[in-house]
Amino acid sequence: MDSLAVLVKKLEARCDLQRVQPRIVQQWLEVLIEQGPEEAGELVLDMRDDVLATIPDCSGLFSRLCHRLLTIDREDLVRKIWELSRVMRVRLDGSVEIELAKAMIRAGEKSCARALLLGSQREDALSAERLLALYDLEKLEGNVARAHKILDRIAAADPSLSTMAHVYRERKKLPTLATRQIRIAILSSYVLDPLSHYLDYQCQRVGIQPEFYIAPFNQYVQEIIQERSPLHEFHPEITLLSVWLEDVFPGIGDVPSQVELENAAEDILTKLGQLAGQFQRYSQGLFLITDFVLMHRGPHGILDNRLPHGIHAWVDNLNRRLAEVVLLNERTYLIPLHEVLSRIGIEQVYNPKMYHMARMRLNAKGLGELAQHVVRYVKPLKGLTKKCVVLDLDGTLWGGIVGELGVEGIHLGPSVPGEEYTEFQRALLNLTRRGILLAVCSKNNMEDVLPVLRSHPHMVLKEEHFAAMRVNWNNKAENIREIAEELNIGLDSLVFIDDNPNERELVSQVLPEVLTVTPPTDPSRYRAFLEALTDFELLSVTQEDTERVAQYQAIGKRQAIKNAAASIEDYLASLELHVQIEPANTDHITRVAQMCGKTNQFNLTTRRYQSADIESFVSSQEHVVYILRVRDRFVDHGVVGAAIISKQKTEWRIDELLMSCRVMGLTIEQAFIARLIHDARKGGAETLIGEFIPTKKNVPVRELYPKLGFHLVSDIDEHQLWSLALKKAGGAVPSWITMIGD
Amino acid sequence: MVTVEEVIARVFKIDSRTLVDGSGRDAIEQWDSMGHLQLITELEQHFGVSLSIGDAMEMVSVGKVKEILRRYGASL
Repeated sequence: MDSLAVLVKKLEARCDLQRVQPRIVQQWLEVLIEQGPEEAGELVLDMRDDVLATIPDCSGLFSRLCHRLLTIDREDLVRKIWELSRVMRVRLDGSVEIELAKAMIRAGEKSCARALLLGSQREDALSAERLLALYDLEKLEGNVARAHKILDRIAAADPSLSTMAHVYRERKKLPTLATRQIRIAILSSYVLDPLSHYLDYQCQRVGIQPEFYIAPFNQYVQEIIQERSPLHEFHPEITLLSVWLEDVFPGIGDVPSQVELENAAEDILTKLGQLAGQFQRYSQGLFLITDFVLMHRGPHGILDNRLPHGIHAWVDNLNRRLAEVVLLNERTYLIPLHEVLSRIGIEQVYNPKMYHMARMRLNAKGLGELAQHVVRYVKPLKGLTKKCVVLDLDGTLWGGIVGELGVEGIHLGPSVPGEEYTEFQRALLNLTRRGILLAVCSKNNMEDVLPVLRSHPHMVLKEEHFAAMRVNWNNKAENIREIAEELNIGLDSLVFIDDNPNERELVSQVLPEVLTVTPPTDPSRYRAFLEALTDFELLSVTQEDTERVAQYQAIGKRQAIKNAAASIEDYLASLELHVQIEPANTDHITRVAQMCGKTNQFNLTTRRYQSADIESFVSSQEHVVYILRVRDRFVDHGVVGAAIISKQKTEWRIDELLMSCRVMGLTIEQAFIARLIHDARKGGAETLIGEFIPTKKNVPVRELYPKLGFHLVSDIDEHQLWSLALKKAGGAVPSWITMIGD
Repeated sequence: MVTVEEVIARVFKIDSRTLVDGSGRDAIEQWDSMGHLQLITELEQHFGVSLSIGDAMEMVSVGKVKEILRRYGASL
């Protein structure tokens, strides 16, 4: 202790210190930090800044000192040193700041803690450790929305098993802000429990709160084949079944003969086929089966693909046949797990130690990939599929600025740079083939842009591919709002892609409903980036989807006529509307379920019925499901509306009435109701009851029933019943609508 | 230099100052079988070792973790 005291004395003689070599001062201080951190701390605070500034590794020294002080709970000293470090512009180790912030939180100094955690960095660049501390702070202050957001960021920054488990646990403690719920069941032949943490994150970040049922280890058969099993009692909306090849065919690890392989394939396919069939009998939800993944290399080496009993060809064939089995079953989908995992690499997603220790087949990376794929089924099921991509032009659809370089000068086509933009456009064009619309929102002069869209030889996307265009110098948020109005779709159906971060920032702040994505800075990655988005999935493609782009072009033409027509009646008459309403049959189930899933505005009760529900209505005596077809002089819209009627003796009740936004504003609803009135009368009913459940989205139909002469008879908990006496009511079809098949 | 305590604290989202050599699986709620897997992965990463399954299973407390890592030549 004597030498220490001497050392301190020496150091305290400041005038002497200036004469001591800085390297030596540092060495003394290092020794002192080890032996007496408190004295070292007080000494440092007492020393002259100019002396400290000469020390070679001041930042390391301060950080070590703070760490030691934190272990002996001297946060007060750490804080002073931190303040000193700011004055001296010395960077402290990040973990010191985090620990200090935690101490501040404990002491109730929340705003200081927040400033310290955020530092000068952007929130999306923060480390998981900082975010975890920040999360504690937001939770403490009761900022629920911010706490949820930060949990999302933590999961994105550190998707390890333990962090994801932590995020999951914390999420359960917060009040939910989700607007949708989903019940997901997980069945597997190996340990797949932590998948729920990854799925929870993927769902929560898009406003869905999942509830999980995880079947006991390797009990998937019992769960599926027993009618009253916990699985079926849970009523899952999505059930994932993942069976591992080695678990159903242990012989795959040896050298199986051709006969053994054939028998095994037969066995596996029969078993899974039966399970898929049984599942349908007892459950109405979607059934997702993963295909088979070969984790090891097989016993035949380079001869594998020359042998009749080669392993890889056998697995490929097994997967192909499994796809056929799956196709035979309604609401059943094959998850191409092999493809999903190959995308990042089999060796990356598998850790043999985890299998031997805990029967886990997939590590954190593999679980993350699988969860991200499963959410591709969740989004369309919950009506979250995006309908339109709004695109910037310069730097997004082509390289360079057209206003400066001219049509010839922009980078596009088989040149470098140029080809990467063509690739991106091709991927966008592919989206239109499944009914996703494209729109342009660009700060440019229209006269510079139009020649590119019309005559540039390498533009994959032409003028006619864009359902709406805003090329001007106005605020992009305003333009996007207009695009949504013009296309008659909600802002939350839009994705905005722009290479300019300022525009993205503006749009995401002003229009948070729009999904503003951050494209990679390197345009050669645009295509992969677009294809990795999980927001454009459909559970089935109907004819209406593939024709939608042409239909929206027709809307543009309709708009032109509307501007030219003298009165609204003239306009409607000029459209030559033909409407057909008929009871639905089994062919229409998919389309009706699809409309139930995604129609938001013209939707009276927003009951998200699924295929199974529609199927039971269609076959039931107490219900009628109507479908509505519309054709005008430009285009055949196909099936764009539906109604579900529940019949009682004297009363018909409109359980659900919906119509695509593409045919809104054409008075078609009057024709629809007229038909319902007509049929109800014929069926002997005295009253027609219309149900209405208000949502944020269905404002356009809030006045529908009163306008058509219905009277409000009950309004309980946002559930309104409107009644129309059939004895006196007329129910006429507007004169400009021609009814087909009546 | 990250300490064993810090790695364990980070994995289980607890305060590293609460950890002593005797702290073990019984005392830390999050140290379940999944947590254990994550701990092993993180320890291997931070200390640059590849643990045998037998050794990994024996790491049931802070002290045991340190003892085994030392055996692998990790500098703690």
